[in-house]
Amino acid sequence: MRIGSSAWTASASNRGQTHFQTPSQIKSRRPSRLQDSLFRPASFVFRPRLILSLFPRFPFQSLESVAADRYAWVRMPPPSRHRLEDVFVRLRREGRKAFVAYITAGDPNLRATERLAFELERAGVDVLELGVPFSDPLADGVVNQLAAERALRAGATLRGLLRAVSALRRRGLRLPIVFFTYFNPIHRYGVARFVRDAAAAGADGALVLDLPVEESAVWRKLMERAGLCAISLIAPTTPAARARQIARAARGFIYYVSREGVTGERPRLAAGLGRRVALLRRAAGRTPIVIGFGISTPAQVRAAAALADGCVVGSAIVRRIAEIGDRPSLAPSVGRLVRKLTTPLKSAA
Amino acid sequence: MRAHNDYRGEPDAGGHYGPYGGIYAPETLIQPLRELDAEFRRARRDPAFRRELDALLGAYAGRPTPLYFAERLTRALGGARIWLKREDLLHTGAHKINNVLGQMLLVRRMGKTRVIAETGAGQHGVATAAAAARFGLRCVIYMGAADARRQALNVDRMRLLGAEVREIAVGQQTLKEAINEAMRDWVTNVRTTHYVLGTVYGPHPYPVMVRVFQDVLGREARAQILRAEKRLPDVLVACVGGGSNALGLFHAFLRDRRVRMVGVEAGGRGPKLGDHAARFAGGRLGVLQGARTFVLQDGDGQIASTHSVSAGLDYAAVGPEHALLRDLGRAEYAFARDASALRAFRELSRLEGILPALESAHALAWVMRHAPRMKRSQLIVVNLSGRGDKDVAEVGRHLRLSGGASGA
Repeated sequence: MRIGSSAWTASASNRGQTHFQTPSQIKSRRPSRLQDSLFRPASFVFRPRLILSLFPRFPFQSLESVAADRYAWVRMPPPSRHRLEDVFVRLRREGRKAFVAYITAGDPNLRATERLAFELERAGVDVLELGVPFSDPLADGVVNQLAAERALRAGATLRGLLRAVSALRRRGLRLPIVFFTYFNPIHRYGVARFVRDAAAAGADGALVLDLPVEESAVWRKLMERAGLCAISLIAPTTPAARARQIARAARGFIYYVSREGVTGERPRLAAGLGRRVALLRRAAGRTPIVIGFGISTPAQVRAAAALADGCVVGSAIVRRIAEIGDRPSLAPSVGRLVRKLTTPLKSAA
Repeated sequence: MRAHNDYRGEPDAGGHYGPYGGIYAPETLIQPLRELDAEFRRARRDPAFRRELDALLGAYAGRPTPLYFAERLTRALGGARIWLKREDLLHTGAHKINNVLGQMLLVRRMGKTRVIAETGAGQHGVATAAAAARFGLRCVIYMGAADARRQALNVDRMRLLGAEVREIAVGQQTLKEAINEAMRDWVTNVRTTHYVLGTVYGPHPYPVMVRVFQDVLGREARAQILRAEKRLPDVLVACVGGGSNALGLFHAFLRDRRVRMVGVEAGGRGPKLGDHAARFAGGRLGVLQGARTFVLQDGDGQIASTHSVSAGLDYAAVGPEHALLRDLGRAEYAFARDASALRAFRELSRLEGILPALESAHALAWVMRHAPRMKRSQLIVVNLSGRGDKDVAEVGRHLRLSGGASGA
């Protein structure tokens, strides 16, 4: 049996099994049951996989299988970070740009969110951003504020959302999932507990809007150890030196905020966006850059994606969800909208 | 015992008061906040800045304010001697102007042309509107629609002073929503606009900056009580919404370890979540609107709604420095219910001829409960942080509703 990053995503045939890793992945990660001991000195922790990793390129496939069986009791988090990173590697190889779709989880309810996730995957979305509804979304425009309000009224919680993600994975969703959230719900849930549960549910990363690099050292370390991407934001007001600092710590992709302001649809892209993204490219090195905030039409998608490695559309999709509401036509209608938006990215640029 | 001496009254370079405070803001605001911090630190060391601010505080705002011995209140309660720090006598009617004038001078140094502010009771909004007029700046004030209704007088004052008042009709329509909306405005117009935050809250440097601009009132009070009574007070009392008037009073006494400090939060209607704004009694550690501190929230980390008869205390989080002072045991925090604040409002009006703001009435409510049990030789200094003209309609409504015969 071939073990590797595909083991989790091909979960239909794999349900209930333990997830293994290739030796190269073992090197970068620890077993999840040891994640609880984060603040214990590392040397006191027995780490069989680390010992294995002393052989950086394990030469024998058969021995690798033996080792995997031998340590099958160690429940591993899904190899999700690679799922997110693989998307950008694959797209770059194909000369395409990523389409990231944002929806508020739980709007109009979590069951609809699950249907929408599959629809978005079919419609050609490359990464799914799931907004965690919060009572005080101070970086969001009115469309997303109302979506969060609807989701909270419908009873969405972080706990329920993690369960929904887990269900999506069980049912075979392969789309990388990134949480888009404010810090307080995670803080209340318990940061370490959230990271562990998000990894176990099959999420791939999280972007915390109000957690700048100054406050996020512990967060980034926890995410790294769980194999999740702590995604960083860079804004037009971010100076170059700081952008380099953020880019160095970035995982998965860099979310570039296209303009000063809140989320929401705008008639045109921000002036000077191309120049600013080109500057950021120098700071970011090989880390993919995705542009968000204020992108809502196919033309804007084409223009923004051409400047970077991809772009995010949020409010336009959320507004469509609000217009239709919890009806059978919701997913097909959102699917049609998103197909229009992804069309400009379907062919190699 | 815990070491009080370790805390010198300043946060670390990142704005942390121990585990509290910090800079939990969207990336777009980080650089503007750093620039503000740098400008503030330069100004703080600059004697010319201090001179100009002192002159404005004197001639424009009306400092120093008197420390007034409340003789009839003291006699009626029959216990400790009660002194009132009369911040209610300041221009625009509350201590808020101290901070606003300081920030306006910073705005001029930074060359910004537009200011925005949030307001709960309207006192900070009025102070910002007045100072913006004085400095020739465009001014937008965000106010929850519910607050605008109960503080209608202040809405009119702000408009007369040339400010645009935007009423926010989402959520529970109070201070928290006004701050969200002000932050959204700021993040959008950050290159031209300064956000005049009105309390010791939000991302660094606001908590320390506002405290520095407010502690003039505590320094005055300390000198005044020493002159009048030849000794330090036994207890300082102030109401705590975000906590700027309380820290303004407390800070000058931080090292006088015998002086007890009491912050009074809004106990609202009762102890159920959503019925009060007593963050220390009912809150948990959380992150809201830029700072890590005690926040009223539910089990899923959603911010709880709050209630208080006074719009200025009706807020789900408390200034991070207060959280640290409480941990250190240096300050203690109590709460007063709506009913006792209203009673205190009426008592002070009748005994001393002073209408206190409903916010300050919470501090007085604590005094009325505790002063009778104290010795006659003991001294209490209460920060009378604002005047109650704005609350007349609201108090009248409540006293009639509760059938307060003597209140009619």
